Parts: sequence; C-alpha cells; structure tokens
Amino acid sequence: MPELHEFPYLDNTPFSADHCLKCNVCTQACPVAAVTSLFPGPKTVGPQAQRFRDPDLPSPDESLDYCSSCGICTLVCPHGVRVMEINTIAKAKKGERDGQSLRNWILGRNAWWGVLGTPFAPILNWLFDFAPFRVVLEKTMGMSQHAPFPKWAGYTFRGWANKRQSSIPADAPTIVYYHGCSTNAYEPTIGKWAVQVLEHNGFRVLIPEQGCCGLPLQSNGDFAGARQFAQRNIDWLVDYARRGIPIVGTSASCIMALKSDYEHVLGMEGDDLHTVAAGIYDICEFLSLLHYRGKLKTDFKPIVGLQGKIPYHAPCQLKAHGIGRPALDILDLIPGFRAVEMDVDCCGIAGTYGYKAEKRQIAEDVGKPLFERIRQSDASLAICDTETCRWQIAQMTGKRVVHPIEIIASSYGIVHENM
Amino acid sequence: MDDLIIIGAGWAGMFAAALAVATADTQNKLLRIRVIAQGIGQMVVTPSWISVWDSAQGDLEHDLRGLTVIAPEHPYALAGVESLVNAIDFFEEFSGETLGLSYLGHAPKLANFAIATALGTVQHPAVVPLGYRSSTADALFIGFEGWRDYYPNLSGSNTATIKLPVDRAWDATPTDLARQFDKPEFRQAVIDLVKPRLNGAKAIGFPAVLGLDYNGFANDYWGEAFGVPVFEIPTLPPSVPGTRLFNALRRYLLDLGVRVQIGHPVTRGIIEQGRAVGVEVAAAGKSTRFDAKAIILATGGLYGGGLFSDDRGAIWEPIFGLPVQYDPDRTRWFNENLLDPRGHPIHYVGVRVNDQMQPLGSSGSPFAEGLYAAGQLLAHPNVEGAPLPTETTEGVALATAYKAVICALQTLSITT
Repeated sequence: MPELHEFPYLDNTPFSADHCLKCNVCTQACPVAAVTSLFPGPKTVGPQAQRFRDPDLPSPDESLDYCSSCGICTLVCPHGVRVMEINTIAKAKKGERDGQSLRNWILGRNAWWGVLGTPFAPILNWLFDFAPFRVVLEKTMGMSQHAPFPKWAGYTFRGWANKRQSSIPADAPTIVYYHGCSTNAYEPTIGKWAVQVLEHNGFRVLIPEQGCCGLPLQSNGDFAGARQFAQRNIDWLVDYARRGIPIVGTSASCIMALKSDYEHVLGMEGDDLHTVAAGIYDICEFLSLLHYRGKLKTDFKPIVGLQGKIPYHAPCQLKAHGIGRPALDILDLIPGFRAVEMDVDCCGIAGTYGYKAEKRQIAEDVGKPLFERIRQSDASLAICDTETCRWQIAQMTGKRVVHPIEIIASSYGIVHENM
Repeated sequence: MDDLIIIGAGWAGMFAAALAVATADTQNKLLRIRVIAQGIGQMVVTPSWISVWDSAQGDLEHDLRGLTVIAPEHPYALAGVESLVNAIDFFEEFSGETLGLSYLGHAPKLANFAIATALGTVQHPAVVPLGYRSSTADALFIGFEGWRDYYPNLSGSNTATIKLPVDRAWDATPTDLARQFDKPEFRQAVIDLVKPRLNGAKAIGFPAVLGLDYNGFANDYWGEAFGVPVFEIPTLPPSVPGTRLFNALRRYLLDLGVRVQIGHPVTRGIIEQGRAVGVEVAAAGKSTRFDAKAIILATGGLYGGGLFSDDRGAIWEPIFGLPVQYDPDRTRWFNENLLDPRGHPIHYVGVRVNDQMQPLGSSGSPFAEGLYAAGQLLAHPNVEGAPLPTETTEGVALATAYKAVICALQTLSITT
C-alpha cells in the first residue's frame, strides 16, 4: 500500500508546482480573487509564477502581497500542488527584498504585546476602543481602524494555571496543553475550559514552557523570526512527544503551524520536528480520538438556551489539518441542538491580513456571505475554532462567537453560564 | 464511527452522498456520512450536463437494454438500466426542488439533446441545465471584448461583441464574470448593451457565465429581458454551471450534517477480517483514521486520480489495492490516431465490480464486504457496439452511484 512518503511531490513545496495543469480550480475557489481585482488569483502568482522564480531572483508579481494565505487553493487542488505554501514562501522572499513595514513587524509579534500589555489592560482596552486612537493608528501605520482587536484579559492563563491546585492524582495519564498567545493574554477562559475538560476526562494537564507558534511572523514574511519561535517550541515540546504524551491546543491555526507549516512553509527539517508534528492535536481532534477509543466521557447535558441549529464555521486553518470536523463530531454528542457547518470557505480575516488598512475591505467582502448567513440564523451565537476568525465574525455579525471547548465545557457542567 | 464514507467528490461521490442523506432524511433517520476527497471534484470542470450515451439515437432506454445484452460487464448493465432511470428521476426532481437549479430531460422517454458548444460543434447529453436549452437557428451569439475564453464566431455567423464594464476582462475566469452577473446592475448594463444589437435575432447565446448564485433561467428573467429565448454555451473550465451544481450540493450536504472534507487524499483503505472498516487520510503531521460501516470508492479513473500508472506498464488502484482490469503491454494502451473513433484502450481500464457494485478480488468474488465502487473507476468493456467511456461519464457515475448507495444502505437497514 502506498504511504505518503512514496509521493515525494507531496512533501516538496516548490516542486509541487510541476503538478499544476492550469485548470484554474484554485483561482475559482480563491476567496480573495473573488472580491478584488488587486489579486489575480493563486494560480497566477503561485504555480504559474513559480517557473520564473529563482532563489536568487525577485518575485515577478507584486500582487502576491494580496494573498491572504488562507490555503483554500491548496485544499481544492486536485493534483497536490501546495499553492498557498508556494505563495507564502514567495511573499517572504519579497519581504526580504523590500524590507518590513513597522506595521507588519508589530503584527508579527503579538506574542509580546499580549503579555506586555496585560498589566495595562484597562488603559489599553479603553484606548483600542477610542475611535480617534484607531484613526491615528490607521493613518500613521496602516492598522485598520475597523479591524476587531481583542481585549486584554488583565491576567494571563499561565498566571492562573501556576496558582491553581489540581485535584487530579499525580499518577493519572498526563497531557500537555499548548495554549497559544491569544489564550494566554486575551481569552484565558478558553484555556481554563480546556484544562477542565481534559481533567474531566481524567488527564493531568501539564503546561510546560512554550512560545508563539510563529505563524504571525510567517504570515508577515519574517521567516527567520518565525523559525526561531518554531525551533524553541520544538525544543520545549519534543521530549513530551517522544514519550508519547499527547500535546493538545485550542487554536487550530497555531497547531497547524506546528503540524505542517514548520516543514512545508518554513522549510525546516529533522526528526524532532516530525515527532512534534505527529504528537500534537487540535483539542477536538484529540477528544474525537478519545471517543473513537471509547474513552471520552459522554455525560453531556443539554445547555440552557442552546437549541435548534447553531452555525459553525470551520476555519481555513482547521480545514488544512485534514482531520475532518472534529468539533462537529463532539458537538453532535451534546443533546438539544445541532451545529451546522456553513458553506462559506473563509471569514476573510486570515490571521493578521484583515488588520491591514489596505486589505480591510477585502477581508470584510470575503466573509460577507458567511456574515449574512450567521446574521440570518435564529441562533444567538456561532461556533468557530480559531481566535481571529471568532473576533471577525463577532464584530461583523454582532453575535457571540465561541470556541467549541466552551460548549463542551458547559455541557459537562463545568461552567454554569446561560448562553 | 460513520455509517458511510464516500471517497471522492466528483459526480459519483457527490451524487452518492446526496442520494444517501436524502433517502435517510425522508425516513427521519440520521445517517453519518463523510465525503473525503483530495481536491475539489471533477464536477466543476464539466459542463454540468449528464451524458448517458452521446452517440445513441432515439430512445436511450431501448439502446441501453440492448447494451446489457452485448456487454453484460458494462457498468450500465451491472447497475441495471433501472438504476440509471431512477437516478435521473431523482436527480431531476432533487436538483429542481431541493437545490433550486433547473434541469431538463426528455420526458417520458430518455433521449439526447443537441447542445451547442463553444467550438461550434454539437454535443448530445441527455439531461441538461435549463440554460443550455438552445435553438441556434437565427441566434445572435454574444462575445465579450478581450475575453480569451469564448469566441462567438466559432458558434455562428450572427455575432455581437460587447465591452463588459469590468477591469482586466482578458484575465477573467468564467467564474469571475459569473460573479459580476450576480449583481442586478451588472445584468442590466449587459441587457442595455445587447438589446440594440438584436436586429431580429430569434434567440441569444451567451457563454455560460450568466450568474454563479443567480439563476435567471428558472424565472425566465433573461427571456423577459430580451423578448427572445436566451441560452448558455459551455465555456472552457472552470465551468460555471458545474460550479453552481457543486456549490448547491455541498451546501445541501453540510446542512444535513454530512462532513465534506476536501483537501487531503485517502492514502489507504483498511480491511479487517474480510470487511472494509475504514480509511487513512494523509492529514497534516500524521495520518488520520476514519471508520465506517460502508465505504463507497468514487475516486475516478486514471484522469481523476482513482487509478495510477507507471512507465513500466503497471496500473493500480492505490487505496485498497483492488485488482485492475488492463493490458500489461503498454504498447497496446493507445491506438495510432489521437482522435480514433473508438478512443484508446487505456480509457476502458478500471476496477471490475459485480451487480451490487462490490469490487471483485482476483478470484472473482467480492474483494471485501462493505466496500462499493462507482463512477469512472469502473472497468468499461471495450466491445463492438458499446459506448466510449467518455460519452457516458455522468450517466455511469449516476447509475453506479445509485446502485452502490442502495446496496450500502441495505447493509445499514435503510431501504429505498
């Protein structure tokens, strides 16, 4: 039986362009090209331009910068061309040549701003809500005044976890939680739920040293910086993976960076990298796996106020995992409502893309059909696995958008809030 | 564990998923179905019509019954002519009432249409999107200035070329233009440009880009706007009518809880104790396993990625390693002329199945329980009087997917 490694083209990003037959399926599916003529589509700037690219030559196409790296092109390609990866690498080459804007430098380092801003949360939250400040940010740096900035929680998830006494016995099976920057500084409740859901299933949760996954740097073309973050994460996590201790995360995009981008976009190599990539799971993927093995606790109770159809948006980065829709598989076990996947590919924000003033309108136009469907739905909330997508959908629809772990935790009776 | 995994998101795979979930839904049963495909299916590059047997004349059912006699191993014969007829009946009703797309077949008897192509030739599918219904006599053919994908003078002598109000028209895909036609003001602008050019034409032919979401044929928007019938002509891929159908099917499937996973190939089928129990998907970082009570393999033929070949004359089915019917002498794969009327022997290769759509092992008995195959993956007998595989593509996909679903549902205790 053929194994993945028998198809070397799947593993070698630049050469996967050889499999392009110019069918334009990717261009048709590209959510950015659908709403702006500034981007001619993934085929043109990807496999088509790839043949004119030499490691020592500049990229031939300036419009590349408008690629959001959502990766829909790679998913729809019937021939295994890594279109998004080709484009992201070319974008970084362009960045190396042209240099970085201050704005992109800042957006790439939200790992720092989350932690550094925590003590000043009240002031910063007020400031980012203060319209004139946002106008100034846009005018001086090109940071869109309409983009959905998160709120600093005022404490960090790690701070909470360090102080917490767990009641789980020391000999219980262990699991590592990779929380990501956003959970640490902006949405620590997601981390709390994750820890408690895992404990509910009998795991002792370890929260070892870890850093930003590097995806924001990668998206903003700073591959060198992204590789530093990546290497540190591999060094911190590889020992757990080697010992067979599962690593789970609540941000599908960060986890995707560790699973795939380090190798296929950043071009990193080595056994440690593969060990970590094989040992890390999206949290719902892991819960699904537990369920498959008959080890998931299924004492799910209906949640007050949650009934009918609830819109679920599968983020692009989650789709890139190739693990199906594990959040839906778990949510299906909860009585009282049904989560329904929206048929719109992308919400538009694509990480830091929708924070850039010149791309903000594109980001809103890309997600428009999604926002309309969610707005029209009777449900008071929507569900989505990644942070910036949640913030974007919440801002554009006025509805609450939650991580599936919040629903799962509620259904276990871990949080007693009506929704 | 799922009830049903369908591998492939082309005509056979998407139709099988829709038929299975619709059947279960009418019986108020929840069926857990998962569609897994390496990329988007072939549907979006087809004209979106159903070719049953393009070169057949007259009553198709009659000809198909004749085919079952001369080629009892043909997919139509194995699935049974009634599977095709039932599949088309279901498709026509479902596409209209549930998907909101209008398809047209000859009732009460299946027969072929004559549909104009972008090259000025005629094709003969049996079921077509309403927009393809054409009367090319005295028709005016509309081209778009600078657009490389359609040249109206290949279609006829009465042509008009209009300048669309879009940027970079030369670089637009059919889908780009179709999205423009979704906007009422754009449609009106085109109507205003075309109307003065009519000069007594009895019909208007446009390349098939008249709206991606907007369906102006169901409500006769176009006929009313111009006062004469309007029809579409299939373009170069990607195909807008094919994409309309794919999008509508996907939305329907997602709404009913079907998982549609496009992007990562199934690399291995898992057989335990003579039963197909699951598949492995080449997911990021590690492979992911999905189990099901029944599996339908709808991965396509050599062009669709369901079969692989090499330069030493081997052809294989990569997921389950099913036996493939082919000639190991590679020199006999191709006829001398590219456009040979019998096509090429390589087009006929595929996996043999029984009349329950179960792939056969080398001994001639089913390869595994719970495993079914449909569509272009199947072997087509290359015998005198049988159709070319390329002129039966969608018909074979629908008939065999129909039969495969019926048989798979029976194992799940759902009858149709």
